[in-house]
Amino acid sequence: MAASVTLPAPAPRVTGTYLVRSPLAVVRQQGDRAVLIAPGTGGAFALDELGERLWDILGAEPLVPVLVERIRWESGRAARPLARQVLARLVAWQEVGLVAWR
Amino acid sequence: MRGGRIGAALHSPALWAQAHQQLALAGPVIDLDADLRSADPSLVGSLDVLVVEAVDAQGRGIAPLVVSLAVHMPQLAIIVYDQPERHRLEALRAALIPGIPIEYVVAPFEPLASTVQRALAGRLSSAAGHVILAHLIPLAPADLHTFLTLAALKAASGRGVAQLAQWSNSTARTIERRLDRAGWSTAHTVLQSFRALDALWLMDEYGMSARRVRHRHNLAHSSGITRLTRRWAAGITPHTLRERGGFNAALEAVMASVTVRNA
Repeated sequence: MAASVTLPAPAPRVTGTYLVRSPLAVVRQQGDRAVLIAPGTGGAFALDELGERLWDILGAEPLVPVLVERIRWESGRAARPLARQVLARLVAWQEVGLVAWR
Repeated sequence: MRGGRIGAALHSPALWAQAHQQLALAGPVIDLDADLRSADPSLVGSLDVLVVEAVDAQGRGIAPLVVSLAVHMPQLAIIVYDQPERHRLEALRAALIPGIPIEYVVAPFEPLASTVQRALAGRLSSAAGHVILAHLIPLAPADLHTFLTLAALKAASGRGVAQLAQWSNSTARTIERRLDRAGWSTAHTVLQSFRALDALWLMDEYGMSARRVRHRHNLAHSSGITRLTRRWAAGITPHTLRERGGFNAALEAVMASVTVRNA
């Protein structure tokens, strides 16, 4: 008689965990600065050093904690003001469709 | 308990009942739609503390909610009250943003009321656990994720390996075997190292005094902080933290010692 085997149930898939960039977003160089342009809405954001780094890291579809921590680690800045600044950018970008939750 | 407006968005009947029972003395708890996107914004905006699950009824994690609340309602204290199941902790980790005060209470094992009390007093802080998990989980075998999450978030409480293993639905012996198989340090070293990092984080990020950190870590004397960090954070103490490279140096040293088993 075959032994009875109980397989563990697969964990339910959790959505709303990773941030992804819109594939339709465009980064244009205007003079000496980069500008991030939202698809369809015409929303545009001049990218400063933090913005450029954020957009770059978002290409790896990170967890938000990993995104904030990587910038904290690289910059040596205090976590609290940095996190508020990063999250404000993310929310503004999300509102015009530049990033979305997956 | 100090008064304040407490909201709860809990969709699991068991968690809802436990939360209401535990918070009965704290005053009225305002029940919100578990899908906060459809909740009255003015009602949410009037709250001091919000108790939520890590995953909503539709299987979405709370990270988008935490990000939105941190920007639009930065004064709101967020407490996640949920069971330590793998997929729920995965959703939780996605919301534990370094620098954003959000606290996890392990249901049904930990008391919710005392954390709500601290939140009402404005004493929630972002823990080193948020930073530790961002570095450690990508390196860790999946069968250690639950234990490591609890260890990183609960190290400061002084809870032991056996208890955290039990909350992970495992045993201390199984956790040790998994750590050994991964070539990592012992569970005790992991836990104490996380605890030392949390003490250094509170001093470095929040400028907390040794006395306040001692209270948070349930240590008898302030000198215990120095002994803890010297022993488990590569010899770094609160006094030498700056000259040794700050919190990042301590973090790097602990990550190296935790992920390599000493002979």
